[in-house]
Amino acid sequence: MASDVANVFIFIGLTFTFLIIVRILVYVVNHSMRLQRLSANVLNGLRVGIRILGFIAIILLLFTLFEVPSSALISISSVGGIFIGFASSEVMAQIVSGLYLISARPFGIHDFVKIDDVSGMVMEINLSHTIIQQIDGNIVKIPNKTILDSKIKNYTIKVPSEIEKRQIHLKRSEKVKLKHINPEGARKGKIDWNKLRLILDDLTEFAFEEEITRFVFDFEVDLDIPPEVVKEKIEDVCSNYEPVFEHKPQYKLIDLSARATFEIVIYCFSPFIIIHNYDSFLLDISNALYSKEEVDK
Amino acid sequence: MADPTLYDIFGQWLTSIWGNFPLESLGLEIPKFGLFLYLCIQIVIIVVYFLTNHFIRKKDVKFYKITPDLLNGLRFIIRIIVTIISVVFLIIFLHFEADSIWLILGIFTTAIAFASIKTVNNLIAGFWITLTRPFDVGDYVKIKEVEGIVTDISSNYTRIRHKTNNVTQIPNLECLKSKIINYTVDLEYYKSQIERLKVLAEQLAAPEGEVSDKLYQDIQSEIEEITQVRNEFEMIQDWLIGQKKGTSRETSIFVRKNKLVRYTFTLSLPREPETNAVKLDELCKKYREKFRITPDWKVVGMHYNIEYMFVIITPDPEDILEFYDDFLWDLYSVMNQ
Repeated sequence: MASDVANVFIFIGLTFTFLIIVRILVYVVNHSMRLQRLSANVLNGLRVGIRILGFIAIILLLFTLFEVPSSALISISSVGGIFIGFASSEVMAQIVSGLYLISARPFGIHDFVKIDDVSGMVMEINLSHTIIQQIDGNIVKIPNKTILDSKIKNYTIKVPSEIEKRQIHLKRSEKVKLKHINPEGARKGKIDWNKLRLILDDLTEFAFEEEITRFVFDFEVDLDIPPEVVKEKIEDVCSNYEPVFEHKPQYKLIDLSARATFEIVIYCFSPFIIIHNYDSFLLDISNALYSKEEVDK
Repeated sequence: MADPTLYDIFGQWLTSIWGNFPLESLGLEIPKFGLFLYLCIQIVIIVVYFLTNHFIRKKDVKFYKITPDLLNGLRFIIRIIVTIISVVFLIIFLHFEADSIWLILGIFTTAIAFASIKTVNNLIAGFWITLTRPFDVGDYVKIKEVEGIVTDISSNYTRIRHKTNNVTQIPNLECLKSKIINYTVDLEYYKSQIERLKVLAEQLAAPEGEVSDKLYQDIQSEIEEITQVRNEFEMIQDWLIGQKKGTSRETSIFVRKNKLVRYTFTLSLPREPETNAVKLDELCKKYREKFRITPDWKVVGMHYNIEYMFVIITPDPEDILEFYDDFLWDLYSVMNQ
């Protein structure tokens, strides 16, 4: 009985000592000239580390000084298990989502994607985040769980699997065979171009490519400019960019409310080239449409 | 049975005076005298509590040098202590069995555990962030809609200082769930870009005859451009080392070796691309001194106006807090000419 009371006092005393030691250490970390030379990150880590160590020390003290009955320990640990399970659910969800993204592959590394309102190239999928380089060069880190909850648009098309997907409803004999779709097959005349065109639509000319990025964006043009001039200018710019993207960008008029909205479709074998030329493409279009002589007319 | 403990002896004494309530069928033995004593003590506790509270509130706080913060904490702690004392007295004077105490304790711990799930979630999220490091202290970031310098990652909050010099504290759990734009880049960022472009150039050069000259030249010029930025990056590193020996302008504590802030923002400007280009080039050149690498601009969209994106590269994240407003003012006056 007496030892119990003594233990309580020892516990309280030691706990205070530990807390004071932690305080002193944190103070030292904050004010030591020598430690200030370390980066702010290391200092931050040190502070958090010291606090956690203090906390662990107090808990260990509690268990060594008082002999907690084993049944109580079990009940506490089972409640604690549930508690920790619930508490770390957010972190666990991130890890599981990361594994899911890597295995289900809605997109791969170096694909050009649009996730909610972030569009750019996937640089890395790690356990917690997917790292995307946006068109403007910024690095965006999206939590994997957020990606699972949001809609994903993948601009990068894997052509062979796309061919298979598009003729999945056809009978075996009607299908265009994948093994024939290569330059050699074309030379031997084994490809039924009409059928392939029906299946692949605008992707027909890329049938031999391994993968193709089909990037779509839109811009608006003032209705003051006569339509034939707009058409001529956009056509000009698109043909100028044919050597850059290796394929001529396509354009469509998609809306006429207040301003004319055009949609540009760029086909290119590498998303990297699109990212690096997107801004100059837009600059050329704006220069062509709103140049001084054009406004003067 | 082992020797009777103090608690048992005390219980027998309580029962011996007025006896128990007739609740044996429920398995409870509540001594009447114990209840009486408990009620008396409880009244004393409540009176003392109100008196202390009154004392704390009425006395001149400034005289005792108690800050409002401390006062608030003090009152909170007093309230908790009073509750705990009341519960302890309740257990002692009503003489509860050891088993039922464990039961009550179990219920309480479960309740507390469930109630504090969010808090501990936050704590674990804090560990996770320090572990995976989507951003570091001193980085210029945008988390959700909050943009600024990360000044501190604690176990519960991430503190961000933004352009108005206010500090926003974002719960770590929120950081874990939201998308993060990290404007701070290291040398690796440029290195990997150059690497990728070189690989691309090699790929293009491989099949003979198919190389389109414009594309190849384009990539080469791109490589040159990025290499230039990288060289400037290295120059800045040299400059930083010189800085440490005590020269020219002061830098903030957030300047780190091998780290640059590549900050971008968009603005829409009138539909006069040619005059815009001249003015913007002029402005960007002017700001070279302040940011050490010439700011750059790009066209990123065309809607009613033309949308321009500005890229500001500087080693010091505080430069952005400091000069963003100047930059906008100058842009304003330049556009107005």
